[in-house]
Amino acid sequence: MKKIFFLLAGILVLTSAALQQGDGAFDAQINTLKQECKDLIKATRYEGSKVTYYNAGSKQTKSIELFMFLPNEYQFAVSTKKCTAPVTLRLYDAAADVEERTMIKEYKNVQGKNFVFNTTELNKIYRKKVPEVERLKNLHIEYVIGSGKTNKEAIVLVMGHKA
Amino acid sequence: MLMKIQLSIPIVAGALLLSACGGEDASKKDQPKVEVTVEDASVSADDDFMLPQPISLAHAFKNAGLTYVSGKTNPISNKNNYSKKIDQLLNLGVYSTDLAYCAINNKTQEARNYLAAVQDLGTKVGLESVFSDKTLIAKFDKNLGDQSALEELIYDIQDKSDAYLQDNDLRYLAAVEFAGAWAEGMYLGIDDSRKNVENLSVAIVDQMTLLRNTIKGLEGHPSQDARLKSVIGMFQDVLTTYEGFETVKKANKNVNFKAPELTAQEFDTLASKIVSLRNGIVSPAQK
Repeated sequence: MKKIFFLLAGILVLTSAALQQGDGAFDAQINTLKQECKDLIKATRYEGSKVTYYNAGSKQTKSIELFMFLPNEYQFAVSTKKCTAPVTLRLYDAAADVEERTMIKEYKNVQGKNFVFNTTELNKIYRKKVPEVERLKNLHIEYVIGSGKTNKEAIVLVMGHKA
Repeated sequence: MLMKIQLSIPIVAGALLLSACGGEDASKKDQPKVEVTVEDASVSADDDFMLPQPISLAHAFKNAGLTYVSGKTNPISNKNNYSKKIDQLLNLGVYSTDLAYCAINNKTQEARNYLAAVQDLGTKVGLESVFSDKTLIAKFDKNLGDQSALEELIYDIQDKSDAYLQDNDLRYLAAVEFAGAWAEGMYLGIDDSRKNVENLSVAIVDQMTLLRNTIKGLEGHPSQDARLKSVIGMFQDVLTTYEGFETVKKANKNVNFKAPELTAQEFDTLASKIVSLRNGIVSPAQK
């Protein structure tokens, strides 16, 4: 029994080690996509970027919380070029555990491309849905990733604001 | 930042396999309970966040009416007092805010001095490739008098710093740096707020929404030594105090809605906690 247990543990350790190994070519592609995103919003001041890595296969959701304290227009560039699984982006005004949060906008089946959106358009929609708010200061982006081939994939997000 | 996820695989699966192989009865009471944990460092956390740049936080305070007060920033002479890496990182953040605070208030000579301090501490914490650029000060000097260009330069430095940390799986360093930057910004804001309570207190409450994620960032640092634990404790103390305020408890959890209006007593309590936190960062020997 011990032998089988150690065999099982060994497989798990090897799997873990394999998962943690860097992939130079993959990282280089991600850096290229990040640069493409920066170029898409190059008229803005860089506020930050986030690469969301996931193992495609089963359906999953990843979320990112963002803050916009300035009244200036914020622009967001997203690259899903490294995604083969179906990806839907949902933009909310609060985290999933907040009751009665509002979905501001949804982008369906955006895998395999670069695209942009900004707070001017989001605020317009948001104020229509929730008239008592002035503007978005806090945004939650949800990546809803559908099932697909088992593969290491990533979504790139770059954010900037106008001066 | 690459966050580690933990795939906890209860040994139930293994026990089932062993049963199927004719092993001992897995339901025996003395069966050892073993949990195998696989950490997949290549997968991001399900709930992640992106923190703003210190200069954007300083701008938000300035928009709310924060004025420049000479002598409020962390003296540059303190930079040699930080021997531990955690303190160097925290104060790299403190100086980044001080640099932004001076730059957006057109105090270019002071900003230049803080840029040199940021370069010095940045090099000490391992960001040589970002801060060893000998032309950085020259670029700064070239743009003296052009506030917008100076601000662009600061954003550019942050961009390069972020890229370096991300490329080298060192985003947890940025989280510590941000914590110092946040504490200094709040200190400068809360100190000046007595002159302009109405607007600045809204900006302060707005930026309190960053605290939970700031703590998460600090907790993500792989080396949880005594000093870091003490720093996390100081930040946690501010959060616990803030979340205990009646006005905060009653406020909408959706921070896009009206921010809580702190009572004078709550505001004083928060101010005192922020001052204590900031002093514990810039003068670590006192803690």
